[in-house]
Amino acid sequence: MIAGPNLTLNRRGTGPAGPGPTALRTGPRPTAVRRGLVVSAVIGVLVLLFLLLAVFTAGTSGGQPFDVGSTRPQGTRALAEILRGRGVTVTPAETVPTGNRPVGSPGTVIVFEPGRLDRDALTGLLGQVWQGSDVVLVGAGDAVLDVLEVGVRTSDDSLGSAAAPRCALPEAAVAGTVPFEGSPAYTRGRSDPGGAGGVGRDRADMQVVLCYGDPPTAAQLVVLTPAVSTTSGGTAQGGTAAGGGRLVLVSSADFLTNSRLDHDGGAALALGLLGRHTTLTWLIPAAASRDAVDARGPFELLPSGVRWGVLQVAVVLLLLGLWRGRRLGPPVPEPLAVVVRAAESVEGHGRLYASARARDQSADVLRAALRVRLAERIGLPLRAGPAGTPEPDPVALVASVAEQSGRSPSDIGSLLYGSGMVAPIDARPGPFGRAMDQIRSRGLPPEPPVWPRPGTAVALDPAGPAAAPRGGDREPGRADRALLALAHALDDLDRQVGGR
Amino acid sequence: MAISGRAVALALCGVALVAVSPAPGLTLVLVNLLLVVLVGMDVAFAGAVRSLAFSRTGPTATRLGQPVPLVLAVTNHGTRTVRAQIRDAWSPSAGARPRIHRVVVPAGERRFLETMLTPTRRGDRTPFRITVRALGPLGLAGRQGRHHCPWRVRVLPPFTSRRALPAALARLREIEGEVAVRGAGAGSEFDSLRDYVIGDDVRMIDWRSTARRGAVVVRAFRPERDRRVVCVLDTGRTSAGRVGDTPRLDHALDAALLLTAVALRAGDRVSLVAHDSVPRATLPGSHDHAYLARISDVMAGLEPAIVEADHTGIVASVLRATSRRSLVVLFTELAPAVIEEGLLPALATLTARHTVVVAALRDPRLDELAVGRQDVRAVHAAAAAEQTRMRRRELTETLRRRGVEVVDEPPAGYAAAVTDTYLTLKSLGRL
Repeated sequence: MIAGPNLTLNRRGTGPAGPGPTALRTGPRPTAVRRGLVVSAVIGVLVLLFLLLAVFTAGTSGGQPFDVGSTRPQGTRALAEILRGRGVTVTPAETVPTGNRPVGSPGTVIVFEPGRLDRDALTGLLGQVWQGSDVVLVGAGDAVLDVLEVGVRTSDDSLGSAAAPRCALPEAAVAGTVPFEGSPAYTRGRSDPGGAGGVGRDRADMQVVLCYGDPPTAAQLVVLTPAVSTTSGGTAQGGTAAGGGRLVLVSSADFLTNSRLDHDGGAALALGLLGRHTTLTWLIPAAASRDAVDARGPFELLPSGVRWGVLQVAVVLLLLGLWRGRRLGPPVPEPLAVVVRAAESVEGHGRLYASARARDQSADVLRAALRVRLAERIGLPLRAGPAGTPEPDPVALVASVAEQSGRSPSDIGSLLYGSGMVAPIDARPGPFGRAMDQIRSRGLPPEPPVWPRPGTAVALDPAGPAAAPRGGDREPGRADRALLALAHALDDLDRQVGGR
Repeated sequence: MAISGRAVALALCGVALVAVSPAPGLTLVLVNLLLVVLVGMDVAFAGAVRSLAFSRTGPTATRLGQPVPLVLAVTNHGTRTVRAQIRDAWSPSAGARPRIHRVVVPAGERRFLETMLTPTRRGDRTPFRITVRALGPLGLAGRQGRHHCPWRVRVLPPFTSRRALPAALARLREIEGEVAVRGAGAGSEFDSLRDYVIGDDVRMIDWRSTARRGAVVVRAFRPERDRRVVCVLDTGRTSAGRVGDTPRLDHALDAALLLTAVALRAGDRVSLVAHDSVPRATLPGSHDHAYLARISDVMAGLEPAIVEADHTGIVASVLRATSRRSLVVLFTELAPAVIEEGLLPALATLTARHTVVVAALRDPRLDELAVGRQDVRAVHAAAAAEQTRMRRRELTETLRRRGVEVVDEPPAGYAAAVTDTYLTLKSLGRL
């Protein structure tokens, strides 16, 4: 942009002779203001649309998924009812039951979002597995698996499209195809190359069975069975070493929901996994605790696409800077004109009088000006006065003015040739007193009840000792009004003699 | 090298792509690589800025306030089409519009761009630089370079007092006796002899011719022609003060132009001297009809200088400029200190040889201040204004006593008043 299209060089905002400031008018152009308004209006409309959309979508998507009491498509009431019908007690919970389960009465625990549990709760669950309970973890991530140290990790390999079990787990064999959806997929830990056929051992204490998806590289159902059961008496099932507890990792629990339960073998698999014991704890941790194993900050919760997107935004900002920063040529210099109002020195002079309270000076000047004006109007010759300024003959002037205005010569004399203002006001009723009355009747403010303390203002009076004895600055408020009254009295006289 | 908004928009599309991509990191790299390649290609295939050639046509002078259409011709001597954004930059007071031209110039062809100047200041306006950005075929990026194409537009004084010209010329014709009024024209220069008609002044009878012809013959007079008028412009600090919206100097220029126009019509020679502490401009007198344009031209370059005017120097300049008796019109400000210390001592030498008119501009703001009665501050300001007015009046009297005509008028009638004074002096034969 050239050095300011907003710079008005030869024009001021005020009228031709107005007392406007000498500053140049700057500021945004009307077009820029209009564009800004349009942009903010568009942004406002977009925000409003977003809010409306958010309200509507929030309205349609109520209800907690996997709630055992919910009959919504995402709920799991159907499964819970079936399990209850089979004599299984389903207990919804938000925290891991603290009381140790009595040995010999193992139950089933299904945990959604196991990443929200802390390390102690997870190891406690693992301990329950060794005590014979079944623990089903839905969607356990790497953080959870690291804590459990069961030799299983998530896999980045792609899942096969087939929904067949592809393993020897009896429940899976009974259920047949189950449409799992979503990540993660599981595979064996790197330390364990794994055995063939989806069955292997890890650390010689857990037997691992990988089902569904594309085992062994990417399985969606993992069953880990303790190799040596501490509880005895269970019957061996399908190759598992003990009939006690087992740890089940499921990539997603969609097949448990009301809407999916009747798809393919979903119900059979669910009953097989959850119905082995008479109690089922349905654990949905309320919220991630501070020391949850999978606690993530808000930035980590964002999808990775967004994080990379932010990086791309930085690139955009850089380009934006390059685009706007490269101007089409430099600003052009302009030798500025001198801007000074001709009357500025006179106005400054007036302000100087005012700040120094030089009322006597002002009064003298106003009188002298009126004398000259009246003399010119009447036609009296001017000659050099005592101060070197042209002055009319006082006697002739007072006489002619008194004749023309019909006022007494003493009035005129004191008005035109008086000195000071305060003394005549209250002493005797003269032209000043009358003028004061006129001024008062014109609705000027009443006299202040408390006069400002004298003394401080007197020191500033530049008129010096010559003016001080006249008493014009004894009481500033009154003296100011006296000056105003004098000015109006002089105007009245001016008008009476035929001016203005 | 410069990128355009399109490149930024492309990068912005990349944000959406990266955000939804399954492999965002890779996408980011790919998107930006693509961007770099496209920008590079665009720069490579953009037309060459160096191979453009510029030339201008259009007026070289204008009066202040009138727009100047200038044509800028762009010729592409290169081998590729140039899609260009061209900024023909002038100083801000030239008011060049549009700011940026967008034009496509195929290879070997020429295009014409119109730059409209609306000057806001008097004086010479010159272009600063031509900046060209040649965008590539995709419009993502381009090359940038500069060219120079010199030109000069002289912005002359607006001559707003032109509307007072017909009235002044009518008065001039009246003085010259060219209109059907009773009696001869005024003046003191012998014109011709004519027959006596009743009402003629008997003192005008030419007895010698009357005796020769046997009928009463009177001498007819006309105003003197071929007199000298010198307009002296004080360009010192007092001329910078603004009265209304315009500096005093511009009011003076306006009045001087009107005076020149009338004086030229009356057959007088006008010369111009502009002076502050040093002579700024001098134009010797002439009769020819192009003289008004020449004097405007000289006036265009005058600017107030923040220095005290040297009145002795001004008087010396005037004395140098003219040797014959002339009417010296001094456009200055009646600032008491300046006049008393500067002009009055030097005035005697000037009035001895020339008729002197001091043309001063009265500030209406002073009159406004002098009637202020709203509060005490206004009364104090009124006192200050009255004091200034008294000093001016005093100064005017002093000047008049020394045989100087003084014009002290507000801006509205300033030019007309100066010209009237000239016409009055002419009709009185005082030139």
